[in-house]
Amino acid sequence: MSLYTTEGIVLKHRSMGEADKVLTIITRDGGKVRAVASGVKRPRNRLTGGTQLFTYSDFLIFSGKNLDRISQCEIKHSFRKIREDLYKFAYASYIAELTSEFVMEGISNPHLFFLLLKTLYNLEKEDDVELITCMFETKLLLVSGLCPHIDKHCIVCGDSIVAQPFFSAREGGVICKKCAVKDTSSFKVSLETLKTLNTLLRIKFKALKGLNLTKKEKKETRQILMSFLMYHIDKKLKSMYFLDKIMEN
Amino acid sequence: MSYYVKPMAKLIEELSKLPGIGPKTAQRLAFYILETPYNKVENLAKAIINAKRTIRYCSLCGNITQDDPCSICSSNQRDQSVICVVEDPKDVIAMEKIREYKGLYHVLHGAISPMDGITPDSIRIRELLQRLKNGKVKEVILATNPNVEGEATAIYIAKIIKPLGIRTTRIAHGIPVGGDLEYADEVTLSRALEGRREI
Repeated sequence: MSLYTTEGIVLKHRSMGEADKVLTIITRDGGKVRAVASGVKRPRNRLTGGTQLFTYSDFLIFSGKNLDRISQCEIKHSFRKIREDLYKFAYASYIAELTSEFVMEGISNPHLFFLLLKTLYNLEKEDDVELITCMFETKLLLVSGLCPHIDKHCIVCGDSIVAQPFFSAREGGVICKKCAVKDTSSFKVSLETLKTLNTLLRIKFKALKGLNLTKKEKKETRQILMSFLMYHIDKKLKSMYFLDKIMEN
Repeated sequence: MSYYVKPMAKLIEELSKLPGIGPKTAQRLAFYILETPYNKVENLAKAIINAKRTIRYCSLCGNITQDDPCSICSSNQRDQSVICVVEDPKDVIAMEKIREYKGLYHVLHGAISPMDGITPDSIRIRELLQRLKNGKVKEVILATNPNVEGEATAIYIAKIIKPLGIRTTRIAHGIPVGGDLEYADEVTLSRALEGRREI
């Protein structure tokens, strides 16, 4: 058994036994870590605050044979405002679940860690949660090496797509009308949306404020990103059902 | 399990299905049961079957009960104008222990947890709205757990109750009695400070 310190963000938790929880944490240097937090359901436990969902903390962890065990933790940022706003909470749950799908246990991924941290800070501060989520999804694809091919030429045949571009998750980018016939899952997109996606891939979070997207552009951008992400993770995330539910109301 | 006679192996197998009971504990419990007088074992078996057969959920509040509606929902002594919303039947027992609350309860049987796929439709929120329709209820106290899921559930319920014009309150958060300020985290402390009162 050895002790190590790391900073991390709590992505998920589930109950274990009477008062314990198993946390899934994305750490800065060690990728995804699953660790037991003993007694955190009891009101006077020292670990309770720092082990809440989305909390960014410094952890002191015992590494065990199967599961690690959290020995101490200190909150660095609690992201309290996210937890107190239903929309922000719903989007943050989706972002955390998505991150959990892309980060591996024991494989360091500091780019993804800092991307999540930056996204949560922005989500807490800003109101346009949908745009921030789009930005996160775009950058997630970028840091995972899955960036979609967004160009003026079809990814399959190389023809110009200017007349009517389609997006194909299977092919991994934009395709022309001719090639879209062969891929039934592809769908029409506008040139403006493709421009937006290219912008999102290029800019930093602080430049998001200057970006004014129409409702249609936002909707189409999300549709492209969602179809691409779902194609790669091959399932519908559970948090998406709740997201759909609150978007209804 | 071949070292055991068949009934003993079966007993160990069934006991080890209980939460927190591993094969070794199940084995110890099985031997304890064998050494216990027959009438005591019979009492235990009867108590288990009796509880399972007679206890059900109250059709109004969702708490565990023998009679439907439960003793709290059908009592004349309770204040019918206040409903305390909790996550679990165990929370009703915790609230009843304080002996100060005289209103009714509503048990949700869970809390909204998007990552576990638990949406508002999976818990008893619809039943709560049905209960509020009769116009008798003047206040809803949201006593879901002070964690992320409990908080989200409270916010969601408050959002849908507000238009009905019913007073919606949330239980206070802060430093537990006997706790130590030094060990309280920033969120708990700031909540405690927000909810301070004059003495």
